[in-house]
Amino acid sequence: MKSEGRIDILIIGDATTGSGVSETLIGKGFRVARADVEGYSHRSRVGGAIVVQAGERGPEFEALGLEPGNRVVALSDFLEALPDIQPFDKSGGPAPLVVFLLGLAGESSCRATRDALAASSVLLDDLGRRVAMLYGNLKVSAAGLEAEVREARRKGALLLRFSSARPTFVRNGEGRPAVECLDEASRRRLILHPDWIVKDEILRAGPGDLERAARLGAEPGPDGFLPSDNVYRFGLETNRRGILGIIPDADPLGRDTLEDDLAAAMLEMRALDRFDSWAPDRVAVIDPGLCARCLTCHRSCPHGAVAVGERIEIVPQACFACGICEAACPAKAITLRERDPEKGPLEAVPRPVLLDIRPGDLVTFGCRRSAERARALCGHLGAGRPADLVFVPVDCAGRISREMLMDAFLQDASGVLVLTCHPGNCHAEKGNLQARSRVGEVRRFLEEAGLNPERVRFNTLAANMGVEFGRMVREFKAELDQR
Amino acid sequence: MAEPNVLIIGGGMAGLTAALELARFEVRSNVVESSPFAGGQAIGFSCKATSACVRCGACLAEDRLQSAVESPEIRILPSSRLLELSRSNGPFSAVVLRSPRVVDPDLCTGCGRCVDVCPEEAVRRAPSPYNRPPLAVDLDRCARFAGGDCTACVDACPESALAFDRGEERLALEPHALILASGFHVFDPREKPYGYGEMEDVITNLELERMLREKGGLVRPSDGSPPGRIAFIQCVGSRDERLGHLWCSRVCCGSAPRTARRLRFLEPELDVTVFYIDIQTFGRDFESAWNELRREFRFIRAVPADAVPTENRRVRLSYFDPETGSPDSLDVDLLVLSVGITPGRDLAGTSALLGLRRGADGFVEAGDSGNPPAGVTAPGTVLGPMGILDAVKSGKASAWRTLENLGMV
Repeated sequence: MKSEGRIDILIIGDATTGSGVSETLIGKGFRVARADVEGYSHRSRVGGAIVVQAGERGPEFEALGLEPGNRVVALSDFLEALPDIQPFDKSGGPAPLVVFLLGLAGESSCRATRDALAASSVLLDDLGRRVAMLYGNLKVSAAGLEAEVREARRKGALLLRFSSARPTFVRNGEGRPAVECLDEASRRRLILHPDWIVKDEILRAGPGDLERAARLGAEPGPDGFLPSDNVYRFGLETNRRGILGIIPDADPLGRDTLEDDLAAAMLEMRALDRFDSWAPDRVAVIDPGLCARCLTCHRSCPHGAVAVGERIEIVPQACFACGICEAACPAKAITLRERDPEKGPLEAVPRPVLLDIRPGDLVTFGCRRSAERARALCGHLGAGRPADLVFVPVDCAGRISREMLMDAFLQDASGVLVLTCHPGNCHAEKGNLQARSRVGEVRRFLEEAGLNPERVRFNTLAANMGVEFGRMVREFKAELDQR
Repeated sequence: MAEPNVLIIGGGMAGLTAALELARFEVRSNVVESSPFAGGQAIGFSCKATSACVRCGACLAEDRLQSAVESPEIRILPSSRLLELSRSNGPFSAVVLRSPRVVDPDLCTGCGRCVDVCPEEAVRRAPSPYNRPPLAVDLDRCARFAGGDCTACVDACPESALAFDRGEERLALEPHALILASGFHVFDPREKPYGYGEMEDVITNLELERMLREKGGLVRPSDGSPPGRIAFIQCVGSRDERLGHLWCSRVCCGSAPRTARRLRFLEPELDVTVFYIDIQTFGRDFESAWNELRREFRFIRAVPADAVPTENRRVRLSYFDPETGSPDSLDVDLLVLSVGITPGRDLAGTSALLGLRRGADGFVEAGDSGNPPAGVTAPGTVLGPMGILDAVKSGKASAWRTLENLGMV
């Protein structure tokens, strides 16, 4: 299943050197090209792109009121200076003190804890120094760190914990800062006169990371880095299929994750390589005869799958068949189609239809990932739902159109309930929000028609909310019955 | 190699993800699950969303389980364990022992009549409707397996899905690769002085998850009343030198605040206190979220000394307040213990069978040369504590390494 003469992966990003990402991929038989972000096109036959992000790591001294210089340094700078520090001659008075500041301003990391512990070990064992670690939240979740912290304490490192108060820094006569603080354990005020003050560095996304994500049409997480924070992207993927984000230098959960990230990325890329014989089995197709080039689909597609050229086309590799464009297209030019692996798009996927509605029924449209599973759990738990509930599952709530909702009322449904994933949890990013807008439109329409707008309702839930599913349906049913 | 197949030990998030990813490459797998129900710990969890998703990942358990159960490439073997394993030059030879299957998964509809009639309360309902079968008989509780002749469940079943004449089964398999994803063991908080097992209103975070999932809200187990004030104690069984547990369980700093927010979302007046040592990472919005959380809830940086019942049936926690520098106490209506992740009870035996080395903490060591041995990978919490999303990613990485072992990529 080696690739056949096409580029598998583009490596985009500023952390490619040193991280070994492309070397690893090449070593595993992938064809790799490096590109700037301009070199990436949604429409190219590229298997995908791995965005390698470096971010920016800074000590952010000002957050603690510290001035850098004069032996007030960032942790990585101290590690570089460490080999040049000479052993202290004990006859020359009390040993100089090195103070490490960890997690006192900004989120620290297990990497910082590990680096500080390694430096402390050298300072204490080989260089005759004293060590104090002043910490806010000490990050110890990486394997072995908790034991290492205790070992440092046994060796004589002074560990001082800060919960809400922070140490303050004052310059003494020689221009060197002294540290004033209250020791939480002993309740004593301490003044330390360190030889070095070493602060941990905070990792943040830089402007380059943000710009790159924006140009690729991939949504970053709340920290500004790719991948997306949506749980269905598994901490690796983005809303654009085939664009993966990794941060070689980060330890978001205290683990050295690069090896696993890369293995998972290679798996995804190889699976996409097999795309033509595998998935998706459905794809949206634009009828060029009906398309008015209004670009509604381009704007509404959450997956960056609508390419604008001489014709407006859907890139099948990127299409998740959520149906958002189909529901949004004013010209009705888009249909979801089953996809034959040999011949491409074939039959249209029928829009969900309502069967056997009796007047007065409550019709519930629900996303397969959340509502349909919650409904199954509701039944399993015996959490009760009315017998006259008509449930219409949809692959994504984004496919629910105004017509589908109105159709239920035309068939004399007593009410229409639309159940989707919670905001931020939609597999298609915003299918749930689209459905909410459709419900809003139908509410207004009912109102204008002199009907009660409360007959249509929108709620969100998750697959594991069986009890809540029952409650939502029962409550709505009870309200409808009161009218 | 014709029709490669993989043996996966453990049907939790890592194992099921590995199986699903292998299925994308048309590689079949047998998933050996020791409990009657696949889905791991996570399948008993609840959604923590407030007005929006908070990225706990619990919904992925339903997603993984349903997809795996419906996949033609995946066979899940519940109530089973790996008994023997050997290897010559070709594939492995494995013997899997399956406990007697009282409930026929093809016939059971999950109606639950057997649950209602069982005098020993031995019939358990699966955590998820996607478990096959959705009901199982706990052989340790069933009178029949203690030598009795009760047939209440068999008689009650309208589908004739229950039978006691199906014995233990030995399945001989010839997998080309193995994945050890047998997960973790939940720390037993009876080892700590917090009254767990003695006071009904002291529960674990996992019991709280199940309560939210099955009841949709929070009540005191003792009297069914809604609590006005609750507390979480973090690091119960983790970061504990006396227990020899020199590790952080990594997930509790995320789950306790998320759960607290969910509870507050359901009950805006709920008073929540969290006792903690250090807050580890809980999400990609850490800094802003941490500042908000400290305004929303009371965070006390202390490990309480003990928990005792009060005269009016509350739970009294004694602790040393670092802000005032003096001993203090707090009475709560419900105490939640964030219990630690410890190595699986059978991990020593299974890892030895597979030739995997374990570290001083008891978890499998990742990545050293020669560990894991050829054809074997070990994802998920057998490596150490991790949350749902990390276990999923670990399962994907494991699937890739397995495909490499099979020469397929």
